[in-house]
Amino acid sequence: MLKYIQKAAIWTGLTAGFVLSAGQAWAAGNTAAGAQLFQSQCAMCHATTPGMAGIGPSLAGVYGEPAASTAGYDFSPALKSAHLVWNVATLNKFLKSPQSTVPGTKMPYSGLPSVGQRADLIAYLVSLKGK
Amino acid sequence: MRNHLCLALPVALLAVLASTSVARSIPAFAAQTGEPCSACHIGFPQLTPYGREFKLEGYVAGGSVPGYKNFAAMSQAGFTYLHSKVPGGLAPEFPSNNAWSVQQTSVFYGGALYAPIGLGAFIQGTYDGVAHQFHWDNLDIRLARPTELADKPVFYGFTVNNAPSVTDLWNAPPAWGYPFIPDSLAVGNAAEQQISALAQSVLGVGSYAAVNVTLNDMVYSEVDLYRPLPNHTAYALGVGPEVSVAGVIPYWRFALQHSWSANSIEVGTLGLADNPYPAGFSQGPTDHLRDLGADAQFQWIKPNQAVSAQALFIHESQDWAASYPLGATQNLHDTLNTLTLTASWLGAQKFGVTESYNTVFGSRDKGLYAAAPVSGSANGSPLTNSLTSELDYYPWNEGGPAIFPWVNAKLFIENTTYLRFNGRARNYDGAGRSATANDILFTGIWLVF
Repeated sequence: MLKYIQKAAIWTGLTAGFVLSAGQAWAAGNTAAGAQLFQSQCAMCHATTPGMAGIGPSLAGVYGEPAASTAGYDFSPALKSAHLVWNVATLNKFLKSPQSTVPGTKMPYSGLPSVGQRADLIAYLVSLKGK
Repeated sequence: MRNHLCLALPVALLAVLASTSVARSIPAFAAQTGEPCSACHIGFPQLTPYGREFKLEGYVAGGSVPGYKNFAAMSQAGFTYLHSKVPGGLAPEFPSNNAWSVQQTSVFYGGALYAPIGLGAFIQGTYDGVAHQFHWDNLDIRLARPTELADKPVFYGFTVNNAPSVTDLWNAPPAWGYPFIPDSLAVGNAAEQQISALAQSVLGVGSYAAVNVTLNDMVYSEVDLYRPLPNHTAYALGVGPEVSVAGVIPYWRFALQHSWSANSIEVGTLGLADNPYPAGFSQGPTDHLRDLGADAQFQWIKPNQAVSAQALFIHESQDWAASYPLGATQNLHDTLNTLTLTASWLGAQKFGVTESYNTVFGSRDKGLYAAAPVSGSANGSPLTNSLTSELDYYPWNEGGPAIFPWVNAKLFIENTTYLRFNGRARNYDGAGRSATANDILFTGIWLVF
């Protein structure tokens, strides 16, 4: 029962976060579609195994954590000083245009333009567990 | 006790060298990003997708403003062996064969100038150990901004640079193409296209845009306008005398890139047009040279190995409207073409193999390619075919020794075999020298720190 409540809370939070952050109607993302997106767009640099850094840090358990807090990775000064917490709103903005959101971030990625695809990817990131 | 010290010192040294530190390599960029060389390069200088994005976005990723970490140095030293000696020496003050040389020593600034606006630079100055002089080398200062076009992410930017194709993201065009380590003591063939010949002798401004039309497809376009350096500036920067060209020199580049999984493929085109004065003139009628090229690149990159291949064909149309009446050329119109095919493999981020086939061919013109011992052509043909093999070892591609984590090195052996040289396989210069006489073995170290 608790598991269902947790899941409902996450999806409610996602939807609410999307609405609050963008002021428009957002649908909760599709985790499976997000996993596919992750493989094509992110996996070359990011692992999903805790503690396994590649070119970028592991994204296991990243959702809900302060930005630049993953152990074992040397983050850019820009991201360290951005004082972000990775929630729906911040991930949505960052994934849309990393260099616009945090100029000087080490993630040279042009961005994910589709609202729906960002929702899918965020849903997948939410599903990644930390330790 | 003394014996113990003798044993302990080398053991300690080996231990220090063996204990690598994570995430440093090409010094300035690596220090800024905290990434190893292998993040941006397959060997050197071929760029990975991460390296291309880093360059496209203005060299600012991971940086903020200039710091001491943005400065670096590089040196390339080696031993040159030719199949047959060159009477008079491989270069002034060098022996006729079997020569040791420190061919170039460079200092760099690489990275962000002011990251909040996407301003960054790659600036290189080089001491040429063969010519014994300092000169400015590659320059690319760029300002890059993200935006959107019809809901597609776009990076656009502006660049100030000093060589056509130095801004390129792929590794077929001349500035970053093969040979990756040219030997300055090699016998050079008679013909060179403008797109290569203008490097560092011009200064230009340009703009570029990269549109991600889908998540896996990018369209890249760039236009630059160059002006030749004035004579006194060219000498001051170590590249004098000036190249005498009238007006501006437009250069353009267009490329499509498709990426999937660990693969990426690029096809593109590039071109340049200029109007040089005949040799010895700086005003009056001009010639008209047009370079038109096509290139392609494929990469497959996995953590433990990578494969890449490049192809480049450039056709140069030469209209000698000014030189022909002066008798400087044999023909009013000529052509000059180059084709370079390159394939590389990098294993375990340590071992590299590169094979390359290069051919230069075009019109016969005894005015352009005159007979002369060693460097000339007896039949006026620029035809030169060569095969090059390169073996590399990178001891620190994923991080240098703990005491010197930003160092990287490439130990190389490069062998070039000529099938034809300046028109012929045998007696190409009219003085009895064969193409194979110029076969060259170059081995040494490329060290950056």
